Amino acid sequence: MNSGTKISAAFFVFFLFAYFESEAQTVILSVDRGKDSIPSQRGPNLKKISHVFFNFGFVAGADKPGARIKYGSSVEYGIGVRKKYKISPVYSIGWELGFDGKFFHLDQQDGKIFPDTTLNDAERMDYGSTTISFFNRFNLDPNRGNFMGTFLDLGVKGCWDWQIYHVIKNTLPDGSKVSSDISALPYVNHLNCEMFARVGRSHLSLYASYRLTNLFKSLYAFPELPVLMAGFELAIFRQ
Amino acid sequence: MNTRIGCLALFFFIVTAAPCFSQQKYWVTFTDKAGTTFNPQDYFDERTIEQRNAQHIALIDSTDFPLNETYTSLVLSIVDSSSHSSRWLNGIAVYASAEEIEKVKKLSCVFNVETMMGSSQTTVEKENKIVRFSKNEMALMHYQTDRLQGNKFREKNLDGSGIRIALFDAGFPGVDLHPAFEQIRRNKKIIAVYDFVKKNDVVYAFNSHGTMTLSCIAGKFDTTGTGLATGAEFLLARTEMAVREPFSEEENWLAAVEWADKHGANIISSSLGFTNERYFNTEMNGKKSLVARAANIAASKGMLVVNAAGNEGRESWHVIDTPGDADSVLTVGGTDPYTDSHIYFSSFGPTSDGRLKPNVSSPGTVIAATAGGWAEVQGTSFSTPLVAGFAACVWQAHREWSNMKLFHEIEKSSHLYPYFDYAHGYGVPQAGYFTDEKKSSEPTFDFVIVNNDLKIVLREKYSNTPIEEFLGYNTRRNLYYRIDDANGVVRYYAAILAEQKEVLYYTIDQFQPGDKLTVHFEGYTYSYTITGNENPAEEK
Repeated sequence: MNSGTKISAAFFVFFLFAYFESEAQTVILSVDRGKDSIPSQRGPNLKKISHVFFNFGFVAGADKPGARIKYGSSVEYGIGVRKKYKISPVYSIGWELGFDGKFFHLDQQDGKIFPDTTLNDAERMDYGSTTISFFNRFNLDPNRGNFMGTFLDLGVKGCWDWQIYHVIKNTLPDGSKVSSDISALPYVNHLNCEMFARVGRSHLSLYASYRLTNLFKSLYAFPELPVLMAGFELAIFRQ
Repeated sequence: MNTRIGCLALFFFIVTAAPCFSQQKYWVTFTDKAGTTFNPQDYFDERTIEQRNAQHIALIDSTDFPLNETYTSLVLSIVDSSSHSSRWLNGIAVYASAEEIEKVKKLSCVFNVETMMGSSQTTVEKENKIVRFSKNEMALMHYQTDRLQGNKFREKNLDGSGIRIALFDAGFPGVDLHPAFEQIRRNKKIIAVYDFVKKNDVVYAFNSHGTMTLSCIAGKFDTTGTGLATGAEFLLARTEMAVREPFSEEENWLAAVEWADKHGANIISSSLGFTNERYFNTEMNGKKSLVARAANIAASKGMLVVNAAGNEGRESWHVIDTPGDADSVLTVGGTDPYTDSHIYFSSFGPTSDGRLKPNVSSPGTVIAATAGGWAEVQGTSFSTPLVAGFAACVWQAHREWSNMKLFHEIEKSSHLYPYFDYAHGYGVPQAGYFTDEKKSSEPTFDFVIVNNDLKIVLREKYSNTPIEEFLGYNTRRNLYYRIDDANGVVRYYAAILAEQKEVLYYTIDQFQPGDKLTVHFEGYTYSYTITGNENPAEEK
């Protein structure tokens, strides 16, 4: 490119810029009342609301001889999307689609029979599940505004446990550590069902879930892992 | 066994959670006040009596009479306890179970029972503490009163003297020590204080939101006023917890407004709003909420109630909070010092029944005194006391005016008047309207209609004037326009920076016949109604 071409190009860019600059309009505020004044159907106490939630809980139920678990470290977490439909100021229905992870840390003590009698350095059952839930919501402050309020949820949850691992950790004689993740377990049921209750206000709630089905096939006669979980949930939505 | 333990635990979980729902707070309104007596000379401050006489308002009416003690005793014998009562609304707030309240409803002296809940929000958006004032912060401190032409009040020695302002807020820490309020303390301008949350008279503690709002009425940094009414008197009421506390704050506001009336307040400055905990935004009609009803009664008793529009402009709530929705409340929106237009968080009008709100606007970013220093803060919380201070100065100059005359004159003084929109109301009140000779505004632009084009063209003088700047931002050259449909309903409004001669362009096709385009620029407002048969080459 010679110098003449460069100058022409520079002038072109300058005039192009100047042209657009002269046509430009700095809009400070623009409000279309047609859109602005349409009453919303979506909100915590409007016709419907969709939102994301996160939950974290602990194993709370009693364990059984032969399958003792370590409380505190045996936990579950979940993430999901919830849709709620208002039927009346005191009653709503809804459904949730989510992913749950559960970790049952097995206590290594004499008498252990699940899933075998071997005592390891550490041992746990890991569950990864896709879940679908249906719930009834009872609100206890019927005169609230567009606010989630204080509520009690009662519902059921179906879990497809598509990922189940039996994890064993041991130390070899040479001091090295080895971890084994065993999948394709023959003794587990992949479909389970829970009922749950949730008490909350606005974004926060406490929940308890109770498993209605057995995790293990009856053929194997394993003691069941605890059926009760309890924890808290954070719901993310705009008030 | 395991199943039984699980079920028991679940049952225990639900049962232990349940008691928190067993009691509710209700507002019980009585049918009448039969048999009660009232002596205004004993009850009211002499300033209250003066104000009512000056505005030709009846010294007493039924709302001033106390509650019927037999009725209240009857209700209290059924319910658990009571917190506040209101003479104006002839009611009492009670804690009761569902069974108890059903019994209360059956009493012949009970007119109505409403569930109470919901807490207010202080309308503060952001706070940045100042360690050492920068040049920009000093400029902002001057701007917050200059934008209302505060210097014109100062030239006329108008500083709110003789006007009593009640502030409802979340606490006033530092007001008893901060140098910003030295002249208030020295001149004993704080007439009364009360904490409606704790029911005592300790208010110089808690949340510093009230300290900030007071500084926007009467604070001083050295000799610079951070508000306009540095000579006013004050009633300081703590009505808010600041940390959200359901139930009590709305009734605290009710109690405080009657307290302010009793103590002779002329102006109430309230930088808070109630939103979704109790209400839907479609209910912001000035009639639904208890505080809106109380605010209207306060206005009927001669007080000017100034309330924040709210900071919900970008939230799903979006609209004015209550009591800013009340008809007789001067509702104040916020402007951005850097654009001189609507600040992003300020709540929008109109009310749900279509009335204009906010009424006026003022800067929503200010320098304010805090408990231990100064801060640059944002919120319609601070726009409100700036206007309350402005109102005090005007009322000082026109003591013969009624509160509603003052209300409308403040609207008329605003920089966009008679233009309005639902972001700015009539704009920022201007002191010059009250202190200078009235001048008719000359046209600053023309409507030019050629063929199918409609243009707004600035007149030569205005298209060649350099755009003013504030701290490096172009400002005060905004053109505002609004499109109303044939029924007068606002369809669209906007503000643009007037950077070029042909400042606005539309084609006639973009309108419906009967649409009205109203444009405001530099003090001049003009409307053009689309007929559908526009004459080519017509100049308006």
